[in-house]
Amino acid sequence: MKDVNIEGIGSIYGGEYENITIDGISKLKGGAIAKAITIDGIFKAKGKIVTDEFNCDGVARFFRNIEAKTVKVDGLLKLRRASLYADNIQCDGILVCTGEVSADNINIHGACSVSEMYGDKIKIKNNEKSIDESQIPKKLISMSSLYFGRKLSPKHSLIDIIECTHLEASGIKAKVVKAQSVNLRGNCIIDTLDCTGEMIIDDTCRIGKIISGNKPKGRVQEMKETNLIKILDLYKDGKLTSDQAETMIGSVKEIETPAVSWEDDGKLRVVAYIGRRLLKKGDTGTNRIIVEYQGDALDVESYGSLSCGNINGDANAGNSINCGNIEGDVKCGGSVTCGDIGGDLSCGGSVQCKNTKGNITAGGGVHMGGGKVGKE
Amino acid sequence: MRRNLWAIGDRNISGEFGRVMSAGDIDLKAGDIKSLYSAGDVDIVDSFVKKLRSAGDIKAENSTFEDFKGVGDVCLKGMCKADTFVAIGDLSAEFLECNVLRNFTRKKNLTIEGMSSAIEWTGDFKAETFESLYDFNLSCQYEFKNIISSALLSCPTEIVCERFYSFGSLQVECINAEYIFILPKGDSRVQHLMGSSINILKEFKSDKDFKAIIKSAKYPVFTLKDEIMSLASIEGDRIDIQNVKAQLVSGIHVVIGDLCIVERVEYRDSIEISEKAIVNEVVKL
Repeated sequence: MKDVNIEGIGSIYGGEYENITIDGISKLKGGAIAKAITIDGIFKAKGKIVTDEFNCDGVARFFRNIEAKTVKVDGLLKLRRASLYADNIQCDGILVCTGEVSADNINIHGACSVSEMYGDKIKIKNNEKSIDESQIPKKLISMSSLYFGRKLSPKHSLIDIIECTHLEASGIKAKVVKAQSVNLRGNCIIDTLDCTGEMIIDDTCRIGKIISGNKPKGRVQEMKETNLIKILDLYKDGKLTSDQAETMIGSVKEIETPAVSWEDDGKLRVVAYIGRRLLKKGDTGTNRIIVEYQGDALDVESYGSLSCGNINGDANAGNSINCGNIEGDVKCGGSVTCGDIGGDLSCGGSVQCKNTKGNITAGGGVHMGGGKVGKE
Repeated sequence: MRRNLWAIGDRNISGEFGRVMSAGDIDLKAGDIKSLYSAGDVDIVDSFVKKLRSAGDIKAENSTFEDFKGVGDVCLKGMCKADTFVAIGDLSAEFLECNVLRNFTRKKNLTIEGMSSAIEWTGDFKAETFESLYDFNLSCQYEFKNIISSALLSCPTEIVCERFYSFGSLQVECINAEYIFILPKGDSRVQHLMGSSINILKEFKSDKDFKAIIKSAKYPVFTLKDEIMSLASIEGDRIDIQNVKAQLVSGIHVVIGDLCIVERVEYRDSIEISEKAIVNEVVKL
């Protein structure tokens, strides 16, 4: 493939080239594929450009897309109804694009006016001197939209939409910014900022609306779940250690009033906690808890030991029961000491009662009335 | 030249003394004593005692002390003043005004038999600095410029002062102070914080403002392992928080540090949110 070098005034036909170097005034007719394109003069292209290296130190106007690996702009690059796609873009001059500028890394230390900017890491520091140094007459800057298709401003770099992972900017004016993390300083003016992560905004910046996180409108439970998901995401991204994630999850799961797993049914329940953990049936220590209830009860269900008056319904205790008469059935893990039993009796230990109308199943001795019945 | 006095048994004294060492009950009226060391009950009326060290109950009325340290119940009537007042035990005062008021000994790992789990004083207290080195329930009437708490501090009403430092746990409804520093303990329960400068940080290092506060105890560098403190709201001018779970944080300059979970942040001028924090809504005022 051959090199093309224009030092005066000339045209280049579209095709494949090794290097295209413009040192004068030139025009590209058609699309071109080249390893490197260097513009030091004035260049206009109406065809699509595909290149590895694109260097613009002069004035370049493009009306079709540019695809490059690295783009370096020290002069003025204008794309009208076209987009710029690259891996890395470094602009110390002026970049104006009415389409899309998209690259993994975008570093602008000059001035730009772009419709849409997409990238991974975008760093923009507006340099007010760039436009002065470009020698564009100041009186014509206000009419810049006629020539460039977009307005240029010496005070701010103008971008309509920025979407990236990390944005570090100073002196930009944007309508919408969407990023995972932002660092805004130096008089940035953003209409809408949507940032899900780290946010550093100094007091010179003016932000219209900030959208942060994905908080669903609705119940506390949904917000808690969203927070849990966010904590897990931070842990997966390596931003939190496992201990830190565990601490945060623990605090999210803390509830002011502990959740209960039963209905509001009007039943009296006596519950025990160790710390913030509700003791459940079978937990160590439940058999050492004795509940004494003054008066008669309807149905009784106790995972510990129970002491009460007459039970008008059934009685079910994990450990022992000591009560008056029981009209219904009795189930007890330990021993039973009561008056008359109206229903059946099933007990892991011994039974001491006055009389029973139903069947008796006991693991230990059974004492009824004044007499004694042997083990069953 | 003041005379010294060694007293064994109950004694009534008045007038000027240099050093008084007593093993027994002392009744001091209209006295002016340089130092009084007593193992026994002390009854002081209309007197000045420069240095008092007592193990026993103390009753004082309209008296002034410079350096007061008493272990035992202390009952003050009338108007009493002191430079440094350390009471280890129950304290009731009609009005006590002092520079430094402290509720326990500086010695670490010291337990006193019979001492209740939390101290609660009654009466009216005014102090430049109140140092709480023991679990304390601030239910008395008080006017403290600075509060430094190294143990559990609870209060049924709002705590109001100029500078508030907490290195222990808190059970308080609301704290309202110009400057607030809190170590974020997981078992602390505070509903609202309001102030000019609010700092909830895992590490405390004494700065020049803290060094300028008159106090009687030494406070080392405090560093806390990761715990998260829960609050309802924080409102201030400058807010810098870490390890906090809050519903609302509202300020002029707000820094949301590591391990924070905040539902809503309102800021006026500047905001910084750590990548290790979760903030669900940010609003610029």
